[in-house]
Amino acid sequence: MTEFNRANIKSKAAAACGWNFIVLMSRQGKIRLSEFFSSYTESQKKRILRDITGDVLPRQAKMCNIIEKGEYKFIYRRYASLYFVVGAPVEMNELIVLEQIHLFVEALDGYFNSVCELDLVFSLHKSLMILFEMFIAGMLCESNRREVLQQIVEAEEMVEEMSKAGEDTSSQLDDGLSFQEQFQLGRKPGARGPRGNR
Amino acid sequence: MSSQARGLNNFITDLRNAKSKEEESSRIEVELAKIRKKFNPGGGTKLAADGSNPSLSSYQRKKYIWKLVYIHVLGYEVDFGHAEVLALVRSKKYGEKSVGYVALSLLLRGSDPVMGGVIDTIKKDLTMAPMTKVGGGKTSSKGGGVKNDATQCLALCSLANISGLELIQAMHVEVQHILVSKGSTEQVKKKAALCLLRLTRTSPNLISGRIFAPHVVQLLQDKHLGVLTSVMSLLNGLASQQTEEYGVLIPNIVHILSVLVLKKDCAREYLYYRTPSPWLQIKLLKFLQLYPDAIEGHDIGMGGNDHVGQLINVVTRIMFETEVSDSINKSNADHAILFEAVNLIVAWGTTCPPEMREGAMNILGKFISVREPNIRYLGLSTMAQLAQIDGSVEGAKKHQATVLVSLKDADISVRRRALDLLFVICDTDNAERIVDELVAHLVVADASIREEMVLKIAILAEKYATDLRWYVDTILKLISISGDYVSDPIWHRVVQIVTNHPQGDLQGYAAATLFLAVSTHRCHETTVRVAAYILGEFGFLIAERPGMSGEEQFHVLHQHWYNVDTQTRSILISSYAKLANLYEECRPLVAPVFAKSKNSVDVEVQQRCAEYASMREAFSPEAVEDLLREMPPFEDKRRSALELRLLETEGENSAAVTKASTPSEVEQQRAMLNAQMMDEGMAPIDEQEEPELEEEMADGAAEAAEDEKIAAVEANPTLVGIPKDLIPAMRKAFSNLCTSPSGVLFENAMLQVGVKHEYVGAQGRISVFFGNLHATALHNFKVKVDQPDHLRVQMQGTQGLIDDGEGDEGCSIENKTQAKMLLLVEVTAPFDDAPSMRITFETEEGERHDYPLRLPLVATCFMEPVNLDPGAFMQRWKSLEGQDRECQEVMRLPPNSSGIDEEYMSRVSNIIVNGLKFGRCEGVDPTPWTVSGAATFRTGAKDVNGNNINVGCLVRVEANPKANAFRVTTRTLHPLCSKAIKNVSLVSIKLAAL
Repeated sequence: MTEFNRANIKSKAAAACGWNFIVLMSRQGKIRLSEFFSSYTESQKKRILRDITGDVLPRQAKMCNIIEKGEYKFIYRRYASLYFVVGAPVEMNELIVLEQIHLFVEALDGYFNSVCELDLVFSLHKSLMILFEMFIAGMLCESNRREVLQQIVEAEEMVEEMSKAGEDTSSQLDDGLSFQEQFQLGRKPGARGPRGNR
Repeated sequence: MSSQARGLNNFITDLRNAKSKEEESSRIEVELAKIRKKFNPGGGTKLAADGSNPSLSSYQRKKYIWKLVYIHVLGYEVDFGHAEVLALVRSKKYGEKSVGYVALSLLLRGSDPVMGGVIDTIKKDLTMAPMTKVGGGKTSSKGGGVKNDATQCLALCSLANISGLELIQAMHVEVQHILVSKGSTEQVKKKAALCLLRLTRTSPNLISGRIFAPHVVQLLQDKHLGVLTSVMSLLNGLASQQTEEYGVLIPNIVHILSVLVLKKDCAREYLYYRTPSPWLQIKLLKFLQLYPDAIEGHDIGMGGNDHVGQLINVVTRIMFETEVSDSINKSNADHAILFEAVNLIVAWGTTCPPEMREGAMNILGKFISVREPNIRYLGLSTMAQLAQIDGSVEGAKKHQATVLVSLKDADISVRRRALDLLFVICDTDNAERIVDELVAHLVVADASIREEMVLKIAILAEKYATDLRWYVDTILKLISISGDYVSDPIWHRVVQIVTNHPQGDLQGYAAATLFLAVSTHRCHETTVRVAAYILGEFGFLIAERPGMSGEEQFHVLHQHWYNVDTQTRSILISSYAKLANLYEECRPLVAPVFAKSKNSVDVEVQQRCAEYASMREAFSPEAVEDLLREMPPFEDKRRSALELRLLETEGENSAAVTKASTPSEVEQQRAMLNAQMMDEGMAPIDEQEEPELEEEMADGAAEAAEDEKIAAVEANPTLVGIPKDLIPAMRKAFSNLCTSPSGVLFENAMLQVGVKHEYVGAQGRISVFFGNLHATALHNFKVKVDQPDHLRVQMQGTQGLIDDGEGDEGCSIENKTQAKMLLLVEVTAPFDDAPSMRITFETEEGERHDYPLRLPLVATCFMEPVNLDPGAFMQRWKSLEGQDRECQEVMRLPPNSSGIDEEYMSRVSNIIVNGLKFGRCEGVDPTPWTVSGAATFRTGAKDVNGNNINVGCLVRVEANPKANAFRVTTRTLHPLCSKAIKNVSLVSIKLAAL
């Protein structure tokens, strides 16, 4: 029985390579992006979002970035005041998930050229495009940042060629907004650097 | 605020400026209403055939869909606009299509009925031939048209995200084709691989491993690391479903891994902080974990070019040459690989060279003391896995002190892991230390982890207690420290263990300890419950001690009466009844309590009081004595309630559950001791007298035996079954045993099988002895007992004796010795047959014997006599008329029998009363030629109210001396009961004729 059990565990572990969901939440509890790769009912989603607010946001910087939630676990990183929270199966390698999050942030950073929370707020569709280019159904598809960005740029070019100028609503940021919420890339997650890089 | 169309940005700005959640949601409500109106204006506007609004411009449609996506992503439910999404997907323009596919992924699920409408479109997009052969994916599309592979990518990504059975059925062939097609670009391939993985996950065994494995070999040659990573994900998914089919790929995987790890050969873009694609390395290591036997039997260190040697090199390199880096990202990536390598060692288990396991343990030992919380967390968690391999726990135990430090960490995640690890490394040597530490920590532990700690402490204390008194003490401490977290199963378990261990002075010790615990006025209610139960059962053991007399026991319990809830009061009431029964001086103390609580609003309290109070008037003193006797030992479940509780909270795969369900040495010893205790005091089989022989016997005895034997003999000529001439004797022995508590069930020149059985209510204890009468030893001796649905059976016996279907060796019985088997059974439903028992063994002469027998475990074993007065008997007799309820048969005695006389009738009545355990109802029998009786058939099954289900049974035997015949009539509520009683009665009466 134990042998069977062990084999069973191993096969589950090997099969687990994708996120169940990713949620970007600000320190104030506002959702900046959320995508559920596995099917969840509306009430399950609500519960997950509530759990993130309750379990992740209050944690101190010196604590580990993993919270067990039964079937899945929250693995999160904090960039400035924004939390990137991933729900991953228990069997998934926690550290690699942390770095997958970072890889995503690096790609966003490359696209928006020093990404900040506002970029995500106003160009949600671009973030989603990048997310879908890098992660297929929650599984890492491309880790080469340059290739990801090239795909996005090519897609944009195609859209522009095909449609009338000025139709695209992207990237028209309101000038009156500040860039205080600049991410601190390459820093330890959770550690907050001096504010206001611009 | 104007109501005209606002841009996406304005909408977002509005939401950002919302001061409260309510303001945000009301703004969203307004927007949703507006969009709904745009999509379906109603009035004269005609919608297109697909339900979309044709008057919307491309810009408008995209804008509104983006708004819906935005609203969805913020966590609000969006349940309309599907038609417009599909219209975008169907569009020929890439710009519209891309928006459509993103919205499709987010807003719709594969199960949505509207999906049917886009299957064709998705299929067309998927199978589109690439317009130009794109080299290396670098060709810019500037000046060209839409790149077809971009459309393919959109479709694949969307398909992967939504999955859904209908889509899978329609598309999986295409996706598979795209993946292996030479014409597909890398972009498409890597997405197709993951898409296929997602499809196989929703609908397993979509792909046959035998056919697909060669394709995977091809794909693994791909130089593009993105494709390779995706293919590895797919491979892991497939291999976890059909592990054997992909085992051939191990050398390929080892090769790829060694290129990355040993040669550090990797395209620059795929270095992540100078580490060659950690993502791919992890997946390769995960794949290898599927094959725990991969290195078994290989002589490690010999022949460097074989893949096992290479694999060992790789793992060694990862383990011992991972360096600590200043960059958190590099450090994470490297340690992710390191932990995965340790997981591989865990998977290999004992086949892994011990020095690698020790090395891994040392590394983890360092990790659990570092400051970096993630590494510490994972160190603890992985060490718990590693420590479970045979022989590794000693290494982990060295770090006990460090683990105890982490138990006090500020972080709940770390504390949980530390607790788990402590649980795993706990054994008989260190149990007292660890449990004491845990108990000490419990005082300061916060609420979120207390319940888990209490449960684990309780399990450890039970598992590793060398002295059960320490166990009792520990649980009492738990209750006093955090009684609110001690769930019912925990204290129930204490009661069970104390009741089931009469040896030593455990029961007296427990009674005395609990007496002291409840003598203070302030103590936890759970303590009162345990004390009430234990003193009620075992209080008599300490009643002679000074200050602990029955009266004083009553007083220490009763001081809590007004502070406890009704559940506790019910337990107290039962204890009082038992005390009052034992000690004359308690009766005047208890009586007023009962009198007062007879009117309690709580039904349970009321009922118990009323019943106990009137018991003495209603029943004979013997019956009262019986009712208030000590409880019999509890049935020992395979999994204790505590383990089940743990299973609930942690899931099947947790280390803790595995640990909890394997019995410790101490537990095994305890079980052995108990079994020995039970065997003592039973007469050895050889001294029992042989039953008389008789010609033909009853239903159900050995008929099956006969048939099975013939079949078996034909199949295998060296097989010896039961000789035909033995069968009548066997039948008679069986029938005899049905009505007598012990006897010989089977005997020939080789083997004697004796049975001793006794029953209390629905439960029975059956000891079976197998004596070797042969000149030499009997080998491979196995007994298989059928476990019918209507019986809950627990078996224990001589090592190897019981055949549990695992193909074990069986045991050997030397000549003139015997093997024993003990069955504890509980009946759960009426039945009319007897469980079969198959005995197989081999002699030294090489004969194989196979005896199918039946155990004399029939319905009447579970009867309890009922004494009815004639009026009541006749009333019930009449009320049970009817076809299903009555069973009747007339039987003529053989002509050579001595005939029916008064002496015979007294034997019959003896059979009914002592054999079938019916209460004789004298007054109903006007002549000496009838015998009537009543009984209750007890089952352990519970009805909806939690009461045991019992069946009332009536029997009547009428003799006709002139015709030399008997008529047996049974009436019960259950047809099977009627039939079973009739059969056993007939057979027994026939037996009495000789």
